[in-house]
Amino acid sequence: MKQALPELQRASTPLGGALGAAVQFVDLEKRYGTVTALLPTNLDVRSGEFFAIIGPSGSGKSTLLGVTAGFISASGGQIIVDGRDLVGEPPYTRNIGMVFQNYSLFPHMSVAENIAFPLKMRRLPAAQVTAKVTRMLEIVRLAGFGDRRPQQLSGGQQQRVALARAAVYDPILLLMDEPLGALDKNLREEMQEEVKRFQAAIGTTVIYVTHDQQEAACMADRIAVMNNGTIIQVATPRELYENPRTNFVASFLGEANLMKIEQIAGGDAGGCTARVIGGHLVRTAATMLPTSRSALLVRPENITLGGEHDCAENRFAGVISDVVYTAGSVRYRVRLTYDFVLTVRVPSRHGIVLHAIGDAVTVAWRASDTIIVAEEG
Amino acid sequence: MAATSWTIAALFIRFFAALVLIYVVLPTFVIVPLSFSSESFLSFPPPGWSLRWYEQLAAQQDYIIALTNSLKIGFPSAALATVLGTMAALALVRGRLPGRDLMTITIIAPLILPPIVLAIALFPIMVRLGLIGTYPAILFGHVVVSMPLVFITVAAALKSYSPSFELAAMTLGANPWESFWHVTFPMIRLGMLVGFIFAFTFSFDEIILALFLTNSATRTLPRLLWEQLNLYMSPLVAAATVVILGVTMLMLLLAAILARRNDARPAEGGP
Amino acid sequence: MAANATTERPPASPKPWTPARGYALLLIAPAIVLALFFLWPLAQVVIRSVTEPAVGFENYVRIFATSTYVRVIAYTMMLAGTVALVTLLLAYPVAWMVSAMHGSILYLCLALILIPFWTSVVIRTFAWMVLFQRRGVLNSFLLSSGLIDQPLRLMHNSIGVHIGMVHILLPFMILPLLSSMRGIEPTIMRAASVLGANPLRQFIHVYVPLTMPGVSAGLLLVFISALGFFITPALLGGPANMTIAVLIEQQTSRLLDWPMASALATLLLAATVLLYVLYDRISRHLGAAGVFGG
Repeated sequence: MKQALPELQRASTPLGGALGAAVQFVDLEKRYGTVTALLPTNLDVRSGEFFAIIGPSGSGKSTLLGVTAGFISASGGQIIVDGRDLVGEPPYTRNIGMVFQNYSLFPHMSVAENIAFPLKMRRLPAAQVTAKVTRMLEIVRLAGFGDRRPQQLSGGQQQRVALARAAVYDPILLLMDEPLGALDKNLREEMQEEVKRFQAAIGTTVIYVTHDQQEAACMADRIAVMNNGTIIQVATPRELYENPRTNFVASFLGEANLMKIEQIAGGDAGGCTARVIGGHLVRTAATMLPTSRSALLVRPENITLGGEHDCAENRFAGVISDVVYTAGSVRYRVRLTYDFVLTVRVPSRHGIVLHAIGDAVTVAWRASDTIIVAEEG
Repeated sequence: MAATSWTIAALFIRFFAALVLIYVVLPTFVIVPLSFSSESFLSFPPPGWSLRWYEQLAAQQDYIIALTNSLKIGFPSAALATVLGTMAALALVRGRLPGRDLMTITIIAPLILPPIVLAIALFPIMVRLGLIGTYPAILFGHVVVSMPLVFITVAAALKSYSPSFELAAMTLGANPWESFWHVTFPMIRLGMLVGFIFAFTFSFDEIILALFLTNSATRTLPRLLWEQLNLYMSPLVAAATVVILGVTMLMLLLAAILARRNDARPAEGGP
Repeated sequence: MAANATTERPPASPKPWTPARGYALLLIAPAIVLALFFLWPLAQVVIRSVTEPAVGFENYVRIFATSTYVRVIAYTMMLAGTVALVTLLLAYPVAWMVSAMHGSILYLCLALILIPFWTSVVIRTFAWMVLFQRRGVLNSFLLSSGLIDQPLRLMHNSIGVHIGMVHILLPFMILPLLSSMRGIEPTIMRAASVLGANPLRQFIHVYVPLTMPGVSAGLLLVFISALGFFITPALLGGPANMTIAVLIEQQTSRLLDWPMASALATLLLAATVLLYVLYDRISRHLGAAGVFGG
């Protein structure tokens, strides 16, 4: 009955040695009747890469993950790993590791039995099983915890066991589904480093699904942003933040002031001027003429108050309509004429005098900080 | 002032509730002392004590045969109900089937349907199949009605933990059978056992299907009791009743202990 | 991110694998047993009721034209209705008391409620016979204490049937009530008292409405079960206390009138299906199949 599992590739991988496999998604799609959960998707994940997929719920990221793991059958397309198409294979022959949000550690097995489970399924000799489990427990710094039940461990420890179990058989690919979602904030940050360290030690390719853009930015080499069943942009975290392709990406990663372009008022070699909502003219350094529907993006921290930014091409008078003090910075809402509201974030230094609601201010930013993004949806 | 009157009202309600609980429990146990009576008529309290009715019971071929029949029907029907009920629970809880609600209703329906309707429905079928009066006739009758009991306990056990355990097992390389054997089964086996006990208890106590589907050779203990009760009531019947009562209690105690042990282990769930 | 499929694509696999499919296959065996020994026999009953002795609704016409049958049906409905209401009145305080319990005392009370639930109806009816006989436990006690000088007639009449059936069906009422009462957040009651409602008003305007799903589920469950009662009316009741179930049994065993029995059974079946669908709707609100669980 037992279907042949692929040979344990890279079984003798030394720590930090050979990298995991590259994964290629070709026209992968999933439809439920007339509803499309995943539009035909093409994506290349590089060997050994830490690749994050982010997006709001319903964006298709969980579908993509489920199809990759084999829980959801694809409606079309291929997932190619090492020249092998995974679509159509059951989950148990794919040789993929997966870490679940709730860890899914088997409660009726000890920690060591949990980690040994995939090896036993692969009919490995007992001695090898013991050796691999012991080594894995050391990697996740849980040596000596092998006899405990998962329920007796803390959330972070359980998470580490889940990592160990998903990687002990050197899977071609490690999928992580919101693995830190159940942890509280401090532990989550600690575990982010732990997971990174773990990936470096194992050298496997990781696809990491999360709705937390900050978490993705901290950990991933590259990020895919998904919305409405399709990938909008794939880029490094910095690239995504600084050069988002669409207004959705811009507002999904961090705060964004988006201004819909109504008309291009003029352009030269140094950039162009666009008329935005309320008739304001905004200067951008971008020379590329925007396509059909576009918007201008300014990040709140690039805007200054009080006009001390001398070389700022964009200057507008406004009134403070809201002040929120957060750790490290102050967020103002500034109302310009025609009820146009901008968000401005100013670092809060000790002794700084805050503006009050109703204060008249001047907002200013550079043309080079004004980015053109496509309008989506 | 007002507070005390509310307290008194609450006390009164509790007292009333306690009386109702006594009404629920006590009458059944009135039979126990009567079965130890030294006399051949049922009076309370018994004029004297003896074990003579139990001795007579042990010597009565009718009762021995009926008890054996009850066991011969109870164990296989409970076993079959456990297997089928578990399969149905797995299919309906874990499988994504269209019309799942309707199927759940259909599986539980035999438990709700008045047994007399099923009895007169099964009788002609069993006659046609040439099974009437045989063990398979009553056995399948009991399987159909006790399957929901297993279905309910196992479905509850399945719902108490996330399906991701099975998905995890599969990503780790376990094929469906291995995943069931190593992961699902350990988590639902107590639910299955409790369901088995319920199914057995049901079969052991069931009367109406037994009236229609068994004959004098395959009749069960409840049917024999019923026949005796229609003729005369004696401490002998009381003694037989106490035996059934004892078996039922023992089974339920076992089920309760198992269910509690199950509760004490988180994430494993139970009925 | 663009599709640059430089590697040669392996041929697409023909059959995508679905985990849910394997589970669905498990339904085959239970479905066969259910079809063979439940659905098919019931269908036969319905069919027989309109095809024998002749095709048509003759049997049903006869039922409603025969005053004895109409009286039996009316009595069964009345009996089931009264029993359902009485069990509700008795069960509500019990469920209320038990719902506030914790730990061992809760388990003890649940056991007290569940033991009779699982005890054979024959045994429990026998117990009532022992208590209710002319020279039974109750009468000897009352006579010897001098409260009465003539033994009371408790058996072979409606009183005995009611008392016996209420006793047997009480757990069917207590359990759904309990599951709806234990689902009530204590904070809701606290909020009501903070808002100034006195205990009686809290009870009537907040607590009782919140337990309504349990109340209706319990009423329906008891009513359905009571409609089909056979043993208790047969043993504790007299000729005037015949229920539909007893009538059906008589038709088959004494009169050998299977078409008539089938027609009566079809009526019972129809009433049960109707009420069960209603019950299912309500118990879905309760969110638990916990009515029967241990």
